[in-house]
Amino acid sequence: MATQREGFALDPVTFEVLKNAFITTVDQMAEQILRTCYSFVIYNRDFSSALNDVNGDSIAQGNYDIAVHVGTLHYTCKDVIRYFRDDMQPGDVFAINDPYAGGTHFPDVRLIRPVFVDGKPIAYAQSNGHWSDVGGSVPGSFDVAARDMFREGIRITPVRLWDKGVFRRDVADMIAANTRDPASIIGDMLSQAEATRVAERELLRLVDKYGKDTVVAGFADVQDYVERAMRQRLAALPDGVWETQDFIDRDPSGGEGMIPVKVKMTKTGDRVIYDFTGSHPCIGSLYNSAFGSTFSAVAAGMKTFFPDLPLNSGFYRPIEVIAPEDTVVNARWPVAVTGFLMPFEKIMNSIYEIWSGIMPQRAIACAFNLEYLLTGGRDLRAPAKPIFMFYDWLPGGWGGRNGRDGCNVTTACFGTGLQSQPVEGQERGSPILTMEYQVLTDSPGPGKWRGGAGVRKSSILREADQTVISYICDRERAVVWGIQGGLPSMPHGLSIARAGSNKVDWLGSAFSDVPLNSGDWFSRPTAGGGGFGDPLERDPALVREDVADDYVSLERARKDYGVVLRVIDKDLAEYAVDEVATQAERARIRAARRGWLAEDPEAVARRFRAGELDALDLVRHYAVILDWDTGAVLPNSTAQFREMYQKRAAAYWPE
Amino acid sequence: MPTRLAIDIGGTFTDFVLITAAGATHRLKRPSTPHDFAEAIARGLDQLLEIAGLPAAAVAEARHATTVASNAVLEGKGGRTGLITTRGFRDILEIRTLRMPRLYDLAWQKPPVLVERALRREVEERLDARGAVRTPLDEASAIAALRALSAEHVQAIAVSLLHAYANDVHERRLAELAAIHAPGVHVSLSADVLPEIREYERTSTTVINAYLQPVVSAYLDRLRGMLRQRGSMAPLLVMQSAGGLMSADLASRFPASIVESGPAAGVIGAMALGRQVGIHDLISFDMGGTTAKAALIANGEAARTVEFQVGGGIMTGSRLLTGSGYTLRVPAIDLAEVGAGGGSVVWLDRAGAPQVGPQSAGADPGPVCYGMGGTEPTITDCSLVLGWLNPEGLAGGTVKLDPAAADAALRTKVAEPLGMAADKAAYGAIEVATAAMIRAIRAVSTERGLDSRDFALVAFGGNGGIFGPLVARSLGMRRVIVPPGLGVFSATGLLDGVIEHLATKTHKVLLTDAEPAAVANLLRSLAERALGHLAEAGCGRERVVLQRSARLRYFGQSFELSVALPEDGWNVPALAEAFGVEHERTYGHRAGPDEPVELVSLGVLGRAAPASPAAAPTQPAGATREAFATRDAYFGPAFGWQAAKRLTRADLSAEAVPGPIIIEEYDATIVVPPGVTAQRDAFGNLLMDLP
Repeated sequence: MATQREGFALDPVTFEVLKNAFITTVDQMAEQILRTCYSFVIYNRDFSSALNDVNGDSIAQGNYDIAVHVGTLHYTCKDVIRYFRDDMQPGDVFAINDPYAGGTHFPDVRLIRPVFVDGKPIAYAQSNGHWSDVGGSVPGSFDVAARDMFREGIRITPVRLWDKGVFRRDVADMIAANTRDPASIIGDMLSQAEATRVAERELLRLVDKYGKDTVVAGFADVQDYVERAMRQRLAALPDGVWETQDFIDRDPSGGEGMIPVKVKMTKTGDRVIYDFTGSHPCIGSLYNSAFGSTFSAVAAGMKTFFPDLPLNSGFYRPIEVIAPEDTVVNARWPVAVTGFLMPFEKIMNSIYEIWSGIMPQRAIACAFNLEYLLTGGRDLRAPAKPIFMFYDWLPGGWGGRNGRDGCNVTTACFGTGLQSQPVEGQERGSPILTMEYQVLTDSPGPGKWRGGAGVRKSSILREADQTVISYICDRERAVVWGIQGGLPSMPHGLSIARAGSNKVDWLGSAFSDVPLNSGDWFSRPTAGGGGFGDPLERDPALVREDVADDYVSLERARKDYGVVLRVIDKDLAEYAVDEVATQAERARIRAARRGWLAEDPEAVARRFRAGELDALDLVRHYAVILDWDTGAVLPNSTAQFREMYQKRAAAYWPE
Repeated sequence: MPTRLAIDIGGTFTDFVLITAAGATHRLKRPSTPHDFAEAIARGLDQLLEIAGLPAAAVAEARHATTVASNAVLEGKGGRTGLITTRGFRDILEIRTLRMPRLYDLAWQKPPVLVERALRREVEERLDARGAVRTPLDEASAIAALRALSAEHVQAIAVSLLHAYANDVHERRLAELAAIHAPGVHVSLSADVLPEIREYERTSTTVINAYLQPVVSAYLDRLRGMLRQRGSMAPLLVMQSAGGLMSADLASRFPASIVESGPAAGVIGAMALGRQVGIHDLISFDMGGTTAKAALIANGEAARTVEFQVGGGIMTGSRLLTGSGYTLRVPAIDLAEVGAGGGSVVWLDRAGAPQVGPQSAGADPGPVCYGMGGTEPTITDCSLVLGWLNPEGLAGGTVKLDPAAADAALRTKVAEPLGMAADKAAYGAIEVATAAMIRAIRAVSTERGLDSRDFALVAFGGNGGIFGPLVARSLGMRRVIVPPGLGVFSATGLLDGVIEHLATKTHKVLLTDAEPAAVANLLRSLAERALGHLAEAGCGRERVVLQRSARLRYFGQSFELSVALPEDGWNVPALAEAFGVEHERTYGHRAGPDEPVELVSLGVLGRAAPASPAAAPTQPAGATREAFATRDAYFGPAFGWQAAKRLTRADLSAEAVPGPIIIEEYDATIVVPPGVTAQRDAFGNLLMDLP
């Protein structure tokens, strides 16, 4: 047999087999969920699975699980253990969705099954799925106007859902009765509980083959292994303190001005501390994060720079998070937290920015922001199942990278692992007809390495009644930013045109419960990623290719990159770089661009209202933020945006 | 039994197996000719017929597996392809499903779309989800799109309109218009290729089909012409990725079905071998010149998938790991593949660490030792330097080898920069290659919670006899089975396959609302389609067994299960009950009887009854020969250079003989390392046992 390794209980071969078997076990849970779930949200990969040890610490999480749940599954397991410690029997299954106990938000419901060997639990199998509805004031349970959890949905503190193998219909029905789709919710419960049984079966198979002691030793070894690897790599990097901040667009209950999320990272030896002191107090919307989600954002952000290490509690041990209570990154009961992904993504992108300085080869600019559209009402096409719920999320662009453009049309950074829904399936299930769903020209943030492209999707409501639309998004003002001289991409926000009217209204990036009628048209873009490096240094040949592919328009090639192209044949997408004109244009922009950043925002806004400048000009060249509907300057937001633009873009441009 | 011919084209070699009416088996191996694969086939066929002493007309059936389709995708060498979509949807293939193969990997790049953006044209038309026409096809926009693509000199056009699975009227009209306005261009309609809901999967599969059509149809035409020219009127059958055979005509129209043709043939062969020797848990390991592939056979059945990715590094059908390549939603044997084979180039990365592949010297120029212009040392060159291969040549001397050239290339490119002796450097490269192979086997076993130690390894392909025991040792596997004719084993597997065709169509409706007459009509037309395709393959109605099935799920679920439909009509309660039983068997639970069940699609599988008789066991030969030649070979730092016994398979018996042993066969070399024993069973299989 292979030799022992110091500090580990198992020989390397058994270790390797068990390590993979644990990960495979959670992957099998995922396969099971995928095939049997009812909530299409779960089907589209908004779920995750874990094995937890007797203390609740994570032994393994799924290889392909959505990023946002990492770093929270051990908290919810610990809370169930805390509650039921001496009161568990084989066949029990518990449920919890409590964000204030380390969960993410109310729709993420976890089912947890203790796995018994010789009369004692040796581990817990946990299946987390995003249910399509958990009650609250709007379909889908995302109420932008919520300020506390009572509008958000049912809070499930630890409950016993199966008692020694017997389904507790009373508890299940009470939970399901608080949602808009009780039958599907019961279906999801069964599906998730069965997934945990798959894990139980697999663990018992391992125990049968290798013995309980070996398997339990494996639980510890895999965590120690990841911890050790993580610490070794951290120790090899320079010590230091790094700080940055990112913003949420606004506090609906406060005045104008963006909401700072401040991140200070201190790396000493083999550990890192993230300190969020100075972040804004909780705001009057659902865009607050409880502690578990904040920790998860840190873990997911860090994981991006250590992609090959398996995820388990060993990964978390070298990380400490300081988040002052009652701020947007550590909300407590009963503050609304269903939109926790907004602070989450700000934290993740801040971590990208910080680590871009430490690992320049992995440097990356800001990614587009998660966006989520919810519509629901009565489907007049289908008398059998008249209630429809249409939830839709889109891909967008990721940030430009050091030496490479950002990824086009990719899942939001919180949800690497998420999958989109087919339009054909949506149109079957909802009275909505999509007219356009394609890559959006000029969405990428300009840079030497540009951001990835976003998309635009436009749809029309068909035969429907009593329908409302809500939109959960951000970065309408805190626009996706570039780094190391790269430029921002574009503001998020949804537009609407009423049936029979050509007038397009801007509804922005966060609204709730707006009535929608048959024939109404609604459309929204997703931003591209931020640019990396000075766009005036981008190879003109690459700009020409982007124009030929329609990623960049002729006009913006000139404005953002200073590249002047001659059209040879538009139909055959043939263009040529005008070298002389390009040199002149680049020189002109270089000489003028610092001045643009100092121009009076009011004067800039007047030119916007007069149609001389557009929104891309404003965010990319003047760093001016408006109320995009009225064209009025937002002075505080502009000041904040300009400060960061100076640090991230202008500071890197050659004098 | 009529005389049957099997031809399997790999990246490096083209293999032939001919089983005559008299029961004689003839095998032949020739270097592939990638500039024109048919060339190697023509020469090989003439040679094989000459050896067998038969005229081409005596061949009653020709079966074929080919890498032509997968190579075209991997190397981006398919036809110049245009795509026609509904207005507003030209980027379906760019948007994909968002899935990324490696989460958290910021360096990941999406594979480029097979149709560049300028060749994606939109037409004005729209169907709704029930197939009703909301906007009629605007023929002017259709003609403009077709003419534009024609002006761009596309060779193939894929047409994939929204909801075409529910109503093909606009796609059919586009095909008619294409015949006029883009004459001579291959056209693939999504309604023909994959009439199933989900626009990304349908469009992706249709585009791959179109992309392959020009290449595959020209190739199969040439092949058939060549057989005809020699006087053979034998029907040509091509292996599908799922392991069944289809007619060449159909393969030309639906080349997306044959992408994993060659690997599937090997797995079908391994399944047949398992039945023969009575071992039902196997991992097949097929290592050729450019890649190594693994597949799992549990309980005698190969694992299958309904969808896979082609061109994404490690190929696997897992539903969890997607996004790495191009999505093909066609049934296939679930395979994992790594880009390491005998022709894989050994090189040093920037940090000076030895790497193997994924670049391959392929068949042309081939390894340095082939003396055909190769300059980069390969795994085969390493095997030669280590003394494993016969310096006199391979394939009974038909492939000459140049050991000095291999040695020189390895020294200058690898050993000297590493400051190592040539033998140690060569062995190091073998170890790196072994580690890569292991990934493929893990992907189908340990990564699915199955312990590879519980399985026997069936090793074949030109390099399976060398790497089989090395891989098995690394994974703690105890038994390696090396079949006779291992170098042409996939070709043998072709003869074990049966002709089949699966016709499916989306038909979404609540089970209780399904019109029995509509279901019956649909099943009838699917059966006709399957029978028609089987007839094209020369398979009469009397030989065909039809299996009808329905894919069902609880209303609201997103994934369905297949349930067999009985011959005698449509019985909803019985079907709902069968579904409930299947749901419980597969997933461990079922819903109550009131839970509505939804029908998603119907399918009819036509299969020809198997024709191949089982091989009869023969008495193993007598005692092992006492006197034998040896050759010095190197087996790593632990064993060093040793005198390996040079034996033939016939020299072995049921008595275990300890390695090192080198067995040179016509089509491959087998190396039994020190510490491993070898014996021969009644079917001529070589069995290696590891400690």
